[in-house]
Amino acid sequence: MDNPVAVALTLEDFKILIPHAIVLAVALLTLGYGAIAAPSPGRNAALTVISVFGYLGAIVAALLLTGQPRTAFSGMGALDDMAVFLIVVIAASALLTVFISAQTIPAWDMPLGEYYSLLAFSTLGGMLVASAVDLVMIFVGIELSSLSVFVLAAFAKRRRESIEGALKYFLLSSFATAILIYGMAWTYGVTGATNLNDISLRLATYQDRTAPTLLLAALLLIVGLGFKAAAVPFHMWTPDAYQGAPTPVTAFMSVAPKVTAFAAILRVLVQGLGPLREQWVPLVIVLSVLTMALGNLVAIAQRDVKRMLAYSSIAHTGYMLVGLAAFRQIGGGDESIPSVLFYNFAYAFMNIGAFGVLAWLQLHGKGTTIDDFNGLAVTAWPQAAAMAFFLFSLTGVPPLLGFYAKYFIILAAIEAGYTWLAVVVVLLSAVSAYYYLRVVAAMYFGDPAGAPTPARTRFFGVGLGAMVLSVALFGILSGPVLDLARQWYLAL
Amino acid sequence: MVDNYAIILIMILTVLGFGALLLSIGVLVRPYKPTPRKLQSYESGVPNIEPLKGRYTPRFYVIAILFVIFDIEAIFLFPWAVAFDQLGLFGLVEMVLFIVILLIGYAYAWRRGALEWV
Amino acid sequence: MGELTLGHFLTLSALLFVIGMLGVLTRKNILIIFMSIELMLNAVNVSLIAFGRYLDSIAGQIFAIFVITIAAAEAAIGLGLILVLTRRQDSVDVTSVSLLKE
Repeated sequence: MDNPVAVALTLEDFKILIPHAIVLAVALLTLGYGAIAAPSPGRNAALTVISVFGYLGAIVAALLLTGQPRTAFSGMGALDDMAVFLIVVIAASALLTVFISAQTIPAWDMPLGEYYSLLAFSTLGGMLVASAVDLVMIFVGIELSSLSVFVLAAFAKRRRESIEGALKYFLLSSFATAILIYGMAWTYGVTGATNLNDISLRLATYQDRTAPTLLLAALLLIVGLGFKAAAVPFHMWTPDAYQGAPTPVTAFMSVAPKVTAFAAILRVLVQGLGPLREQWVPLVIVLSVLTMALGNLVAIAQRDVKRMLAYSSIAHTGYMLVGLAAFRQIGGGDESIPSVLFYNFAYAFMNIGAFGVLAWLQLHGKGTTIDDFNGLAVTAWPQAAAMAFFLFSLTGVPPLLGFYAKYFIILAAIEAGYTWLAVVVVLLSAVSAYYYLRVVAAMYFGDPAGAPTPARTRFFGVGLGAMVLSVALFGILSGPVLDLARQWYLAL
Repeated sequence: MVDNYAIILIMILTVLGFGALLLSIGVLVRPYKPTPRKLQSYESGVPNIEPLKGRYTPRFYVIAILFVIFDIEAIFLFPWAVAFDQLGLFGLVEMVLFIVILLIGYAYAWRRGALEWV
Repeated sequence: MGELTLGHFLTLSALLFVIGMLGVLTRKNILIIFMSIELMLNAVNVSLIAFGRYLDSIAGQIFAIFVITIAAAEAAIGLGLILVLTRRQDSVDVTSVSLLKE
C-alpha cells in the first residue's frame, strides 16, 4: 500500500478504555449468563449484582483516571475531563436504571439477562462517544447506543404501542443517522480530516468560513444531532417512543441517549466545528427556543404523566441548548459548556427519579395518568414525597439540584449577552411549574383512589432513596461537580 | 453568509419543486384504468393462485437476519488481511478478540434456538 | 465525454440521497421507508469514497466500511421490529402505525 500503517499502540493506549472494557464485560456476562441459567430469583439477583458492580466499577475507574488528560489510539480517543464527566453521568444513569428495573422487569415477564445486556451496550455506546475525538468513533458510538435502545423500547412486545413506538423511533432515528453521516462526509470532504482536533485546526485557517459546502456540512450535522437529542422540530418520535416503552426503559431512554447526543454535539460542534461558532450558534438559538416553547406548552395539555414527562424531557433539551448557544471559545473560561455538562448531570438524577416513581406505581397495579396519583401522599407517603421532590427539582425550585442546573444555564446565557434567552428560560420554567405541580397537587390534595397493591420493592426503594439524596445534596454541594465540568477543555 | 444560506435554500426548493412537478405530470398524463388483473402482483406472467400474504414463514426471516449480520461483519477481516504483515501479532490478538465477541453472539443465538430449522 | 471528476460522484451521491429522503418522507409502507433509508446510507458511502479518493486518504474508505456494518446491524434490528409488528397485525403500512397520537 502507498501509505503504510504505523502501528504504535502500547498498553498505555488501552488504559483509557478501562471503563469501557468493564461495561463491555457487563454486557457480555449478562447476555451469556442470562441465556445459560434457567430463570430464577437467584439468577436475577446475580445479574443485578453484576450490573451494579460493573457500573460502579466503570464510574470509579473513570474518576481514578481523571486529571491526566491523555489521548490515545493516534488521537482517536481521549479521556479528558469532559469524557470522564460524561462517562460518569452515562454510567450513573445506567446504574440508577438498574435499581428501578431489577424488580419491575421480571415482574412484567421480560427477560432480565437481555435487558441488562442491551442496557450495558447502550451505555457502552454513550461512553465511546464521550471519549471519542474522531467522527468515525462518534458515529459508531451513537449507533451502538441507539440500536440497543430501539430494542429496549420494543421490550414490551406483547403491547402493540411498545413495538409501534420503537418502530417510529427506529425509522426516524435511522433517517437522522443518514443525515448525520452525510454531514460527517461533507465535513471530511471539505477539511480532509476525520479527527476533530485536525478539523478544528484546518477550519481555523480558512478565510471564507461561509462557503456553501461548509454550511451544508454544519446544517446536516445539526439536524442529525438535533434528531438524536430530541430537539424541536426533530422531536416527533419522542412522545410515542417514550410512552410505548416500559417505564424503566423510558427512564433510561430519556437520559442516556440524550446525554450521548449532547456528548456528540459537544465533541462535533464545539471541539470540531468550534471555529464555525458564528455560523452554528444562531441555528442552536432557534432550536433551543422552539424546543423549550413546544416542550413546555404541549406538556400542559397532557393528562398522562408518562407523556407529560416525555414532553418535559424535550423542554429540558431546550434548556441544555441554551447553554450551548452561549459558547464563545475553547478555553475561554466561560460558563457555557460547564453549564451544559452540569445540566446533563442534574437531569439524569431528577428525570430517572420521576420515571422511577412512575414505574413503582405501575408495579403496584396503578396506571400512569394523573388520576392514578390522587391521594398518593396518604397511601404511600415516601414515594409521594420522592415524586414531589423530583418534580420540584425539575421545575427548578431552590435549593434542589434542578435549580442550580438552570441557574448556571441562565448565568451562562447572560454572560454571553443573551439576556432575552435567559428571560425565556425563566418564563418557560414558570410555565412548567403548572404541569409539574399539578401532579404534586393530585398527590397531596386528591382523594385517595384505592391503596396500591403490595409488591416486593426493597431494592427499588434503595434506588429512589439514592436519587432523592443526590437531588438534595449535589445541588448544595455543586462546587466539586462544577469544578470537574469547568476543566472540560483541558485536553482539547 | 445569508447569500450562501440562500443558495442552499434555492437548491432545496428546486429539488422539492422538481420532484413535485414530475409526480404531478405523471398523475395528469398517465391513464388510470384498473382491472382486477392489473391490480394483481406480477408473478412473471403466471396467474396468481393464492394471495402473497403468509407465503414465507417468519423462521426464514430470522435466519436471514442472522446471516446479514454475520456476513457483513466479515468485511472487517479484509482490511486486516491486507495489512496483516504490518499489524503482526497485535493485529492478530485484536482480531481474535473481535471474533470472540462475535462467537458470544453466535452462541447466544444458538442457545436461544434461533438456528433451529423448523 | 470528459473524464469522471469528484463533482460527478458527489452529484450522484446527492441525487441518491435526495431520492432516499423523498422516499422516507412520502412513502407509507414501512419496508419501502426502510429501503429508502438504506439508499441514503449508501449514497453517503459514495460520497465518502469519492472524497477519500480525491483527498488521497484512506479514512473515507474506513468510514464507509463502518457505515456498511452499521447499516447491516440497523437492518437486522429494523427487520426484527417489523417482524414482531407483522405478527401482531397483517400489514406493514406505516399509516396503520398511528395508535399513539399527540
